[in-house]
Amino acid sequence: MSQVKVVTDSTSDIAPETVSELGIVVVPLNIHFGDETLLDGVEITNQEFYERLVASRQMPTTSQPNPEAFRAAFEKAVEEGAEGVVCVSVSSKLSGTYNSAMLGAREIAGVDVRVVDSRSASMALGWAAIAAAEAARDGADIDEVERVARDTAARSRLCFFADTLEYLQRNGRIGRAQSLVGSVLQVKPLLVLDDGEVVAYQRTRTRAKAIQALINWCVQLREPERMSVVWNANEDELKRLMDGLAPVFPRDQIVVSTYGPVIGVHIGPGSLGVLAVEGSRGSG
Amino acid sequence: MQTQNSDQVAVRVQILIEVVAAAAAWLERNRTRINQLNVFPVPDGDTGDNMVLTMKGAVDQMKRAQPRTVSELCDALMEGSLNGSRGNSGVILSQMISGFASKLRDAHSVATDTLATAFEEAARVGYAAHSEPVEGTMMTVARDMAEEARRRADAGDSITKMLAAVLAEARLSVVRTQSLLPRLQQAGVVDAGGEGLAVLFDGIVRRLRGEVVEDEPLAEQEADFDALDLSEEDVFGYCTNFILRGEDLDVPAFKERVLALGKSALVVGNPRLIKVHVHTEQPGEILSHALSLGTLHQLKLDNMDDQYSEARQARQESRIVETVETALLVISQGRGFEQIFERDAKAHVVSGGQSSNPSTGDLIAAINACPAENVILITNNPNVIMAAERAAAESSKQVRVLPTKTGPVGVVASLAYDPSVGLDENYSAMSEAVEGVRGIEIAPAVRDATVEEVSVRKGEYLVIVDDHVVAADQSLAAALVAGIGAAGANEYELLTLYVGADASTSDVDGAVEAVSESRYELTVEVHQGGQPHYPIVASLE
Repeated sequence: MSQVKVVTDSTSDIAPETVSELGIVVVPLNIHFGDETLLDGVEITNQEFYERLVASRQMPTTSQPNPEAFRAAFEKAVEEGAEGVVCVSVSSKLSGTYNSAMLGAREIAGVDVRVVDSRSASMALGWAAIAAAEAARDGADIDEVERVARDTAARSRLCFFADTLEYLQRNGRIGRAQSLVGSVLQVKPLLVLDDGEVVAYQRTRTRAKAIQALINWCVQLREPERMSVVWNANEDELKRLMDGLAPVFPRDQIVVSTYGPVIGVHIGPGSLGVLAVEGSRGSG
Repeated sequence: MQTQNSDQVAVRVQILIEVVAAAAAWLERNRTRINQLNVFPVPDGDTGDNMVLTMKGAVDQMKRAQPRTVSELCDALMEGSLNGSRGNSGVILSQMISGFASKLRDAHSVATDTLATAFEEAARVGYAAHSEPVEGTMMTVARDMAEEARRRADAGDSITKMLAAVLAEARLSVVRTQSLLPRLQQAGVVDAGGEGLAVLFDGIVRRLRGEVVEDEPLAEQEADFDALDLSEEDVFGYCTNFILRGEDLDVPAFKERVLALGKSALVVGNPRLIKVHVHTEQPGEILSHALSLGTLHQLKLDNMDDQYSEARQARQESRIVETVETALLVISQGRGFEQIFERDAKAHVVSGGQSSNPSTGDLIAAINACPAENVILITNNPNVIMAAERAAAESSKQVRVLPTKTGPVGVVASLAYDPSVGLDENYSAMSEAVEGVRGIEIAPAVRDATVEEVSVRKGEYLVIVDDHVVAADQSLAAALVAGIGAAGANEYELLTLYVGADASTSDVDGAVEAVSESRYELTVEVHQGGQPHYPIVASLE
């Protein structure tokens, strides 16, 4: 039993098998359909969410877990024998989750809780939590687990395209990609997460070109160590992307997952993204 | 010795329950308006929802717990609001409620001093709730409220007076959030969380005054506070803020005088102190009238014309790209195309094209006028390519010509332009963007002819794909479908049509319909191109 537990939030999109294998504690964000509140991944699955998103006339919204949810998660980790907790959260520029985790940590005594702002989201955050949990499993102390989380988060890269900017814009997560808004012509914007913020990377006009641009983005990555593809588009497009990535990264090592509901609310349907952890060589 | 009759306690608890419910109801009533204010920290427009749901948590817990004492009530409030808290604003609100309740719960009686302490604790805990507190948010409003409460308590005011003054201060503080946070000023709103806090407290004061507070939402038009009405039309003259101190001040009479001289007036106070916030073109008259009644304090005058134009300038500047490493110059024909190039690609446009070719000299002048040493020049017409290359060679700047033959293909190229990178990087990104993109032009023939083995009669539509005549037809719709077929539409996903200056709307509608009924699965986008001669030009991507 490891002495250090890793806690993350549900925007990390980590597969349930990996969560249980590494003993990661996932604190759910909230999804609101009107006044009805559902815990992300607990009270609603990805599939149920997307079905409801299509069926519902009302746009769902999301909110951060409250501090109490984090405090309870930290307490649970302690009850399971942890002497220290490293909590990796979604970018503080996209959500107040980090702040809630900080408040939750303040409410608990007798255990060392370190909260790390990943400045990232989805599996880019997920990889930081996974790397930290692997270090903890291998017996690393809390300082080392925290260092691994911060280091992996700093090396993570995320690039995606949305079918439309509408969702990001409506939910205020558009960051410095704001310049793309208001154009006369339709664009399939290719976006990257830069220091926790959504930034425009390239303007493409068609989905086919956007997929090609995504592949080109992967080619310029520096020695990727881990890679995952997230999607909520159609399977043909997923296959086209995977085929294009074959020369870049071993296909059987690419983790494929669908965007969780919280990310789905902000990104809208019809999106493909690649998340990678670059090599550490020369970055120190 | 403190003895408390249990009936008295029950009454007090009942009043407090009603007060909290009133706060929640008033917040609910203003929920939509508060949602619309939200621009900080992220404009997700749900501050009202978050605060309402947090209060709902508090109210529900309070009703479930059926408290019999004030301390039981406070415990329920703390627990309910914490568990119900949502979003940044909700979390901070719940912390403030906890702070407030923690000071109230053990008090034997509610005196102004206890209340001031509770306000102070609410503000303190609110600040501590955020890892990076920002001024100009609900935390600032809470602190201003606490300071006012303390001043009132120290001055020996009654609870009623104190609460009225705290509410007035809350409203003023909300207005001031604009000057503390440039983003709010730019967006023309006040801080939503701060406003939510003021509204919540307004609900409390209303209930204590004996009003029935219902949660029925306000109609849109009556939802605006006078004091918050900083809409563009209203921004004029001087934003005037001061405190008037005196003896036996006649508040209603003074208020009437101020209202006559300005707009957006907020005049509140008591016979010894009046707070004034007003937008006026005659601050001198208001101030001298005030001086005849007492002394002026915390006087602040801002020229709103300056504020407004500064805010507008800041907005405009934020739109301008910081550094232009490479400029984009486009030769284009038609008002619609010109707008698309200027707006979507931030390009400079030289007018010209079919039958109005710009001269080499015109182009050199346009290149020299570009705000960068590197210039990409898009031609959009085969007839101007040579003049463009001449101009590029003659100019003292670094120029590369991207020889597109049609406007629609030029648009595709321009979308790959990035002002912040160098000449070659732009040139290759833009060349790559147009690779494989087909340009289609449709124009009526002016005489009978056979061109590239296609026979056309005068008045029929000639279809040109990438500078080659491929078909002719009597109807615009059939010509378009033939054109996209010849261009290999099966391989593409997006058809962008640009409508000419003298195209007939019904013909164009018919052509769009014909494409959607054709066997090609294309997304069709239609824009006004405004080009002469050609009723339709298009790109296939």
